[in-house]
Amino acid sequence: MIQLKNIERYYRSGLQKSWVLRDINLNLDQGEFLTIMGPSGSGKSTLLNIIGMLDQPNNGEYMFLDEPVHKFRESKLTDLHKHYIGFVFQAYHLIDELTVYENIETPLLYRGIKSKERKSLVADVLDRFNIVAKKDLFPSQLSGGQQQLVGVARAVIGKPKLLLADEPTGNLHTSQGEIIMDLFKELHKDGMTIIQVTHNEKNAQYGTRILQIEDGFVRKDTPT
Amino acid sequence: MFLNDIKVSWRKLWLDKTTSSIHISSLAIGIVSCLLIFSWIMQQFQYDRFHEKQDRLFQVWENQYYSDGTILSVTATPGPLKKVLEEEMPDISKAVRTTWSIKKEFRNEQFTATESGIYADEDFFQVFTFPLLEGDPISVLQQPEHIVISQRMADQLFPDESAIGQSLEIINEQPFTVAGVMENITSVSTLQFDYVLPFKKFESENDWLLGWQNNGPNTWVLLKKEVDSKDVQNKLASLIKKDSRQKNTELFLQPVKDRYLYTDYENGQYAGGGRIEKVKLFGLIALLILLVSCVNFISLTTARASKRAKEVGIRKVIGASRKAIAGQFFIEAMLISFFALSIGVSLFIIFLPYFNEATNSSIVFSFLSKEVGVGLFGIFLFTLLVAGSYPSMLLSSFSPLAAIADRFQQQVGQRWLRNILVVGQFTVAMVLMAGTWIVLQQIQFMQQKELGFNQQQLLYIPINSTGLAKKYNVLKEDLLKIPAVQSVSSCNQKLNDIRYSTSGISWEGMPVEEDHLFTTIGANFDFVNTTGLVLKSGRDFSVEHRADSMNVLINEAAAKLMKMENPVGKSVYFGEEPAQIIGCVKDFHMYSLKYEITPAILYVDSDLSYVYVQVATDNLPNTLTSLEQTFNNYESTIPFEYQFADEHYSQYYQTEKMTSKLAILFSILALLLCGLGVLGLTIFSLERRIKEIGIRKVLGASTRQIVQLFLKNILQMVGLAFIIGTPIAYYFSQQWLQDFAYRIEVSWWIFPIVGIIVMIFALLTILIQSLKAAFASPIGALRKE
Repeated sequence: MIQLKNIERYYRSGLQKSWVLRDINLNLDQGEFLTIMGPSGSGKSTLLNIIGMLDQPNNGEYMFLDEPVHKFRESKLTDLHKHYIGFVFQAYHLIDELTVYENIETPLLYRGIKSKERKSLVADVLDRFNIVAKKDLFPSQLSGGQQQLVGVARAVIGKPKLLLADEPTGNLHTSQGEIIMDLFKELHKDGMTIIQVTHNEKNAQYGTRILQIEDGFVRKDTPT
Repeated sequence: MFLNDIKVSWRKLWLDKTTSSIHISSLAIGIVSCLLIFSWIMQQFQYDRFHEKQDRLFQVWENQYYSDGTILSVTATPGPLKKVLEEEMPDISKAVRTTWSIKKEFRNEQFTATESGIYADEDFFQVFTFPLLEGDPISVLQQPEHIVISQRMADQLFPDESAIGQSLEIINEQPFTVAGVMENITSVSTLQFDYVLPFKKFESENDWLLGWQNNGPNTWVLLKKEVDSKDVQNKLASLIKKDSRQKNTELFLQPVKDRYLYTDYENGQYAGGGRIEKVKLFGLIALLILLVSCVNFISLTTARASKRAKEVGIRKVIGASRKAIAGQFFIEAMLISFFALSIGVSLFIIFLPYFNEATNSSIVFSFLSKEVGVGLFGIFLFTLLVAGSYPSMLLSSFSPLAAIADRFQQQVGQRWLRNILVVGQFTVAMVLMAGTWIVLQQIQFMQQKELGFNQQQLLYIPINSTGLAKKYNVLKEDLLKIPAVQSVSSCNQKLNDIRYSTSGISWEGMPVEEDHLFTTIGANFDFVNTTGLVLKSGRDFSVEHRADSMNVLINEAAAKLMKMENPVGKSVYFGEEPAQIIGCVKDFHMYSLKYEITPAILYVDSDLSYVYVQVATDNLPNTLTSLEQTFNNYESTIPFEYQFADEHYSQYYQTEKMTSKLAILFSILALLLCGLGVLGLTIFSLERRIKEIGIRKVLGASTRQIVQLFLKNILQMVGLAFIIGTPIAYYFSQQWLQDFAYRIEVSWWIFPIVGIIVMIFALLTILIQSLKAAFASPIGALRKE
């Protein structure tokens, strides 16, 4: 599903280049549950962002579903990633002025899905995640764990092929974190491809494969 | 999607009430100012434009050429001109004369009234569109005893019955028959009158009208259809020079619909001035203010942008296209514009009566009028486009990653642009304030200027009856018996409202071919004494010198013109008639200070239009009562009227006073807008720098130092505005002052004081906010991490 070849990413300051990713190679099939791990500053989040098409590599090739993404313009990228990719953030990043229901609904609005269909999709997701009772509350009225649940719900409602999660449990206590990870496990069982970035060894165990990144290079690539 | 955006926008506005109110009110202020000014401008364009035949309707002007090169343009034309126009100009369909406004006393069996009106030729109501409620426009002025009165006058004099056919008496004249009742004249007409009498009646009582030597009435012409006015103009120019008519004059036409706006004629040409300049000026100011308020809006929006950046990023991640984001912000701008428009319109309706009073207008606001609908929509669209486009474009361009990663520490939308906008606002405010101050100074100067005679103690008492005029000498003796009366004289005009002039004056040593215009004042004995004029040489007209009825006084300007160093004893000639100069008075202002003092000749006149009384200023009410009693002994049927010379003078500067009121209004508005702008930006700046302030405090910064951070920025901007604004303000005020022959020097200290006021205002605006920040606990700020 995903092929990364010689991916490089650096930032310029004046004439200097500061490297984040030096030579990343990765082949990921559909249905895998990959964990990307590494020390701070190793480039994990950047790699995730590139895979998620939020960022573009300076060099290298990125094939997503056999399409050469590294050649695409912003509008095409938005399109692709709208339909195939869901993103979960460490800081949840919900829209404060919208209710839980509305937050979850928003991706569907951007896809032009009609009202009736939206209603049923959202209802499904609320039910599955067990947050029906909270659908009219605002993010500020929820606990961290609940907010993340909503974040995940929002990410998956469009039935993306790929779910990306950047330190999804980073702001949660252990018990809340477990709920989220269990959810991921379930989604994976249902066929979703998941890539997560995390520091947490325990979280890594939920997945099927671990990629260790250090100083911009892949150090280890092993099944769990 | 649209509905969703509205929902989100509404919630956003509601949740952050402070910033929303600042946003909305600053836009509303801009809208209100625009509405006020534009409706005023629209009304200015309505004056004299209601006549059906206005495209063919013109007023005849005369250009008079004098040997010193001056060309005087006047609307007073000779009596015989009308007939000549009708007979010798085939392109002219009708010509009509009217007099100036004349006050008369009316009386019937039950009521009396004093009204102003005009005499007009028969065709008046066919040429102009002043609708008649009763009576036939064609015949209504045909008989010399006919009169047409206004609805208002009819209601007053004939409240319970129809006025048509009724008899109406004018004091000291024979009775007239009401032949027509006309609608009250609309306020957007420069011609105002409550009655019309037939011109032939006026002619029969004023022989001087029959010849070409005198100018007096206004002449109006209606051209035939499909005639080119330029053709007529060419033929007309030399018409009056023929035969024994007037030499050195030329006629030209002005369209009646331009009468109100295009009033300045200089040297025979339309000099491009008049009220149209004021209209343009205020239009410009209104646009400026609207612009400033839109600028505020943009500035505030983009400042908040970094707060919204995160949201934009999230939305893009979950699938929003750039178009969708732009649309969302556009709708937000639309919502704000809509609220601002509603508030603006409401404020407009509330303040309209006060505005009308201040500007002497009668603007009426009606939702149903097409122009209003179009105008409002136009304003809405304008503010939406200006205020909505830039922020939408800007905000939708954020890359999602950068936005979310909070790498948006940098100020969004280029800080320098926002600073320029703020500096611009301050500049506008300063220019307006300085300009207003100068206008006020000039007005004060004009009102307080010494006119060269004693205004405060001089009373004008109009003489409306010939009977009274005949008894002048006895009246004078009786008046002098009143202790407070210090001196009595008479004149044919008001001393600060001199209009009569004549040419054809010569003097010894005058170059033969020259002809100059002299202002003439028909005075009486003891004139200098009564008016407080100052004699430079010679003496006053006095009964002790019988010959004084043939002698004259001149002013310094006349002496200079005639190159006489010692005028006393020399002679001037009115045509062939000699008159000896018995004295020279120091120059005095005979009209508004807009005009230079002209050479003047004073003579003893039997035409007494006004009795001049000099009174002591204490216990005026008693004095006035005594005066009234004395007058009533001579003429009990006419009410006693009087006016102090300084009262008459204060009427001159109505336009300037109106200008000053508007200027004050706009200065306040501009300042308010600046304040709102600065306030909004400060609040934003604070929020953005909470973390920074927290850190600084932890590192040991005192409250004072924190506050200084904010103040420095603002002070820099105000300083820059001062540097830019001062020369602009100076330039424009000089331009405005050019209009006045006598004007103030612009004092340099106005500008720094205005600068300081603006600075203090800006400081106060942000003081509260910055103190709040300075006192806030650093921990709360840092906890966000």
